[in-house]
This record gives sequence, structure tokens and C-alpha cells, in this order.
Amino acid sequence: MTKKYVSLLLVIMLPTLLLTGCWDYHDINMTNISISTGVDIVNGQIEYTGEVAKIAPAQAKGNENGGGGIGVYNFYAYGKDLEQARAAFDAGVPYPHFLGAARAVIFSTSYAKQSIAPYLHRIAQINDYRKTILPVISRDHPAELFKLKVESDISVAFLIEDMMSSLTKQGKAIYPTVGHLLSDDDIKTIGELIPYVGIEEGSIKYLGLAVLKNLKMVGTINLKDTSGVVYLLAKKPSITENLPGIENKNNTFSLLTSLKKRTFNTDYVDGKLIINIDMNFDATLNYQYYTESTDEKKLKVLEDLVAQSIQGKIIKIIAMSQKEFDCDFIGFAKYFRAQHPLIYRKINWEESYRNADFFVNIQVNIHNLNLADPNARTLYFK
Amino acid sequence: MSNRQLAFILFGIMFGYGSIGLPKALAENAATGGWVSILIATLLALISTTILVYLGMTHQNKTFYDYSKELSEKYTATILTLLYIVFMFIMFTLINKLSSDVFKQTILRNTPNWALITVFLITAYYAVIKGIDTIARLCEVYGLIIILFGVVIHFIAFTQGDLIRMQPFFVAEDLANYFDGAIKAKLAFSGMAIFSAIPFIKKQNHTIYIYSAMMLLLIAMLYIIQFESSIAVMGIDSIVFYRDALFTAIRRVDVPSLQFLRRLDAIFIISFIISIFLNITLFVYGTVFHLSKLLPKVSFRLLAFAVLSLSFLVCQLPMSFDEGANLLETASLAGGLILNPVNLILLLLSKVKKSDKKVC
Repeated sequence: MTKKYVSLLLVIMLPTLLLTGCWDYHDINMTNISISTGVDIVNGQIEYTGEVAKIAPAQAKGNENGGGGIGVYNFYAYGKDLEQARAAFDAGVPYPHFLGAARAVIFSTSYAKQSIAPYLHRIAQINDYRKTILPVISRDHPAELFKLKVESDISVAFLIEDMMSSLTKQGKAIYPTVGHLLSDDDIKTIGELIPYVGIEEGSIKYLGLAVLKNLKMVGTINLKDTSGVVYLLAKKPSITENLPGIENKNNTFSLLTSLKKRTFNTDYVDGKLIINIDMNFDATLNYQYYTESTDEKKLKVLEDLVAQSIQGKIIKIIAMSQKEFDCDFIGFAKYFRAQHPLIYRKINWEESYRNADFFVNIQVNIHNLNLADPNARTLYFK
Repeated sequence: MSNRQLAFILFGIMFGYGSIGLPKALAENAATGGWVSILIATLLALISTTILVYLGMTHQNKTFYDYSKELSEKYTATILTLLYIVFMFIMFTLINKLSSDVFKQTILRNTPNWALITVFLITAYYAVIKGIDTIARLCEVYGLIIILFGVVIHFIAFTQGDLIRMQPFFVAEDLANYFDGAIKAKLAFSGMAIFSAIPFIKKQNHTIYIYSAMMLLLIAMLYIIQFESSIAVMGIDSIVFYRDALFTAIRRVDVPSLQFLRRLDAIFIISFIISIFLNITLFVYGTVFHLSKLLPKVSFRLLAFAVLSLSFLVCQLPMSFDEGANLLETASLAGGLILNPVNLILLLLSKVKKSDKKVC
């Protein structure tokens, strides 16, 4: 009986001794916990910069960069390539660098114009990096961003990640991860979109989207124009549309749209690519600047106006993708390939996309006046 | 042994290491129609399994060595059993070596391979010496855990994936490619050989055909869920670059609303380790059992120790991951190509003997 238990104990003990206990154990205090990484080109060299969490002893001394007792410190390292820059960084830190807690990776515009592919592949293959990390491109040097004192969040990376995550949850932005970008790039015929940030009035702001072709930045879409992209790509787009009053020209109707159904139907007729976009929206009349009575006829007019507004934004984005950027960054190729796999294998997608005809059909149904009754009258109504 | 236990033994030996590279193999050969390849491979696996089960059921309470000796002669039976021994030995040794490489690359970066290999071997040794009844019970419990984890993980992955990446579901012109995909999926359907080392009892196991078919269908469904969720997350164009495709796809999923479980890889690794343990244990059992039939005078424990020690030494041979993976693919293909015809011939011989008896 004792012999049986001894052998059982051995079976349990040996794995414990052989695995993490001996080789892979790391105390959290003995690790550099990376919060973010910035990649830039400065004087022809790669600048590897970022934020590292300050562990408990540092908190006691207080910190300048962080809030709420959790601090970060910045680092800078330079090298001919990513490996040399990383080696230069490693040469100056006390503990091994841990990338699994990184919130965002920030590329400078100059680096992104050369191609962010090398760094994305690095993230994909380096074990401890999260593949769902948020990549962004910064108009200003990442080092400048990291120097900013962030009042509203723990650090620069936390601010960017929380900001993009919150906007995406509200249906007002898209949140591509490194994994998404790599998957889309591997298709070869489509481009990618990535959040574009920068410093405005002393703080970090979301400025719009950067357009990537083969993971090289080819331009940007201003924040005000990103609605079209959000309508086409976000999981649950929900954007405010402002329309002028119908009877009272000083009035403005503020409506919140929410997507009900979105279908992309593609076709290939006589050597021409045809893409039909059909979208159904529900809309809520948030409020009016000045109360104007509404009836069914007026609501119908409003519905048509919202539909036209959405259609205009989508058409603008499609025109940008066909003419300005010459790149299918929405990813219609995925839909065409799914619907016409054999034709897709034969055609030159880039050329077909350039000359494609788009038909955008938008239906809006105002189903909710936000519990307001703009037609109410009292006995004293004049 | 009950039919349910036998079905879970089939699950335990089949579902595991083979699934990790399956999405890559299918995406390469059958693109988004990989699910068709899985169904074709299931049909092929069903034929192989049914032949072995039939042999077991025809020769009650006997295993491969016994009935092959009955149907041919001792010398031939020894050679045929040796084929099984070599096949199963190569399978568990390479599965152990390669999965240790995967664990080293993904979670235990600094742990040497020999330590990981040793851990699997000693746990397998402990399970094997307890006998097939204990292993069968383990398979039932672990099997349920693996199925539960697998379904939950991959359904969550679906929610994070993109339906359009899974389409087109079927392209009639690619039918030949789907058959290629089915051949490439052979590794994920290797393991029915374990039925050669388990005696069947007609009274108790008369519905085993249905049980094993249902289990193969369940395995196929799990593979389809894994394949579809992986390509929904990564797309076929990206997944083909990763030998550990399934694991890579899981690592590309992040569900913030699950809080501390937002990264599914932690749960996935637990279920993967359990399934690898079952794969190795059952192949080790098969090897040692057949060897004990050839060497009845040597104790089962000693044989198990010798086999596992030899496997440990073979694992130390210099071999890259790619070389090992290719060898495992070849071994599973060769196993199928050699053992299936052998079993078929034995089945025909059984039929002939049966009809001879009737004539007499």
C-alpha cells in the first residue's frame, strides 16, 4: 500500500520539479513588463521606444508619468534594424522584457510608409506578444507621444487602447488587431485600415484611419470621413446623423442610426465587376435643436434624408478606395471570392476593382422618437 | 469493457496531436471546403475501424496476435504484430517529441525538451501499468472534459471570427482537391489500431459498430468546428503559414468580456495536454500489449519500462520539428497503407474459415 502511494507521489512530484519550478519560473518583480512599443525611424536608424510598468517599489517613491499609483517609465533604444535596436534596449535594462501585457504598438508615419510588415511578423512569431494587440500609426513621433503626461488614463498605451475600444463598442470606430492585419495582408488583393493618432492641443487624439497597401501606409482618412468605413466594416455601427429642419430651417434633427442588416452581393457581368451594397438601419430621433412637429410624412422625408446621408458617406469612401488609394481596403475581394471562387481565381482583382460599379441601397426606419412627443399641444397652444 | 469505454478509447487515441496542424493541412489542400475532406476522411476511418472491430468480434476475447496466428501461422502472426508494434512505437514517440516542441515553443520556453518528454513518459507509464480498464475510465472522464472545452473554446472563437472567411463552403470543381485534403487529414484519424490490442466480447459489445461510428462522427464534428472556427478567425490564406495552426488561431482570439479568461489559450493548453496524454498513453499501451504477446514470459511492467526508455532515447536523436512532423505524417500514411490491407486480408481469411466451417 505504501509502495503504491510512494509511486503516486513520485508521479505527481516529478512533473512539478521538471516543469516550471526549475526552468520557467520568473518573479513578477524580476521582469520588465512592457505596456507599449513604439517604432520609428530617426536619422536612418530604427528607434525602439515604449513604456514599461513600474513595479511596487517604484510606486512607493511616487511617479510622474502615471496616475492612480500605477506608473510607467519610458525607454529609448536605437539600432540599424529591429534586432540591433532591441539588443541596445536589452543592454540597458535589469530584467528580461515581457511583452504579454503590452496594450498597443505605435508606428511612426515614416516607419509605416516603409512597411509595418516586419514588426507585425515579429509580433506574430514572438511567443509572449499578444496577437490581438492594437496597432496604431502616429502622425507625431512615438517618442513625442510617450513624453506626454497623460491625465485621463494610466499611460499613453492604455489611453489609446481604451479610447479605441470604447469608440468601437459604441459603434463609432473599428478596432483592427495585429492578427486581423496579417490575415488580410495574406489575402494579397486587399488593403488594411489602422487607427491614426496624433497630438492635438497637448493631448493624444484619434485623428482617423491610415490606409495600408501591402502593409505600407499610402494615406489617411480624416476622422469626419471615417463614418463611411464604420458603416461598411464595424460590427454594430451606430453613428449620429444631423439633418436640417424641414419646416424650421434653424432646427436640426439629431438621429442615432443603428445597423440592422448589411449584405454585400457581388457579380461579374461581361468582364465588369458589380458590387451591390444593401443596408437596413433603424434610427432613433435623439432630439431636435428646436421642437418641430413630426408626422408620418415628415418622418418618411427624414428617413430618406438619413439614407441619402449614409449613402453619400459610403460612396465617398468607395470612391477614395478606387481612385485616391487604388486599394480595396474595405475587403470586397473576400466577398467576391466567397461568392464567385472560380472567377476570382482567373481575374486580376486590382484591375477589376478599379473599374467596378457599385450600387448602394440604404433603407432607414425611424422607429423611435426617444419617448418624445413633438406633436403635443396644450389648451394654451398658440 | 463497455461499448462507451471502447468508443472513448477511440476518441482518446485519435483526437489530440493530429488536430493541431489539421486546419493548415486542410486549408492548403481543400481551402474553405476542408469540412468535406474531414467527412471523406471520416468515412475512410470508419471502414478501417469496422474491419478491426469485425476481426475482434469474430475472434472473441482474442487480440490481433491471437487471431492472426489462428488465421495464418505463428511466424506470419509475429511479423504482422511487429508491424503494429513499430507503427505504434513511432506514433507515440513522435507525438511526444513534437508536442514537447510545441509546448516548449509556446509556454515553457526555458524547459528542456527531455524534461517535457520525461513527464509525458512517466505519466504514461503509470497509466499503462494500471491496465486498459483504468485507461478506459480515464478516457471517459478526460474525453468529456476535452469535448466540453473544445466546444466552448471554438464556439467563442466563432463569435470573434468572420463568417465570410469560411466561404465558399463548397466548390464542385474542387472535389478532387477535397479528396487530397482527406488523405492529408490521415494523421488526425490515426489510432483505430488500438482496437487490435483490445479483446471484444460479443455479448457485451454487439453494438460496438454503432458506438464506434457515432464516435468517429463526433470526432469529425469536433474537427469541423475546430477547422471552421480557426479559418473564421485567421482565414485560409494566413493559417497555411503555421504548423501549429489551431493554437495560432486560438491565440488570435481575445474576448474582453470574459475578464480573466479573455485569452482562450490557457484553457486550450489544458485540454491539449490532456488529449496528448491520452494519445501517448494509448499508443504506449498498444505497443507494450502487443510486445507482451510476443514475449509472454517478460513482465508487463518491465516491457513498459523498456519501451518507454527506448522511446526516450529515440526522442534524443537530433531531429528538427519539420523532419519529425514529416516523419509522423509518413508513419501514419504508411501505417494506413500497410495495416489496413493486412486487416482486410485477415478479415477475408476469417470469412473463408467461417464458410469452411459451415460447409463442414
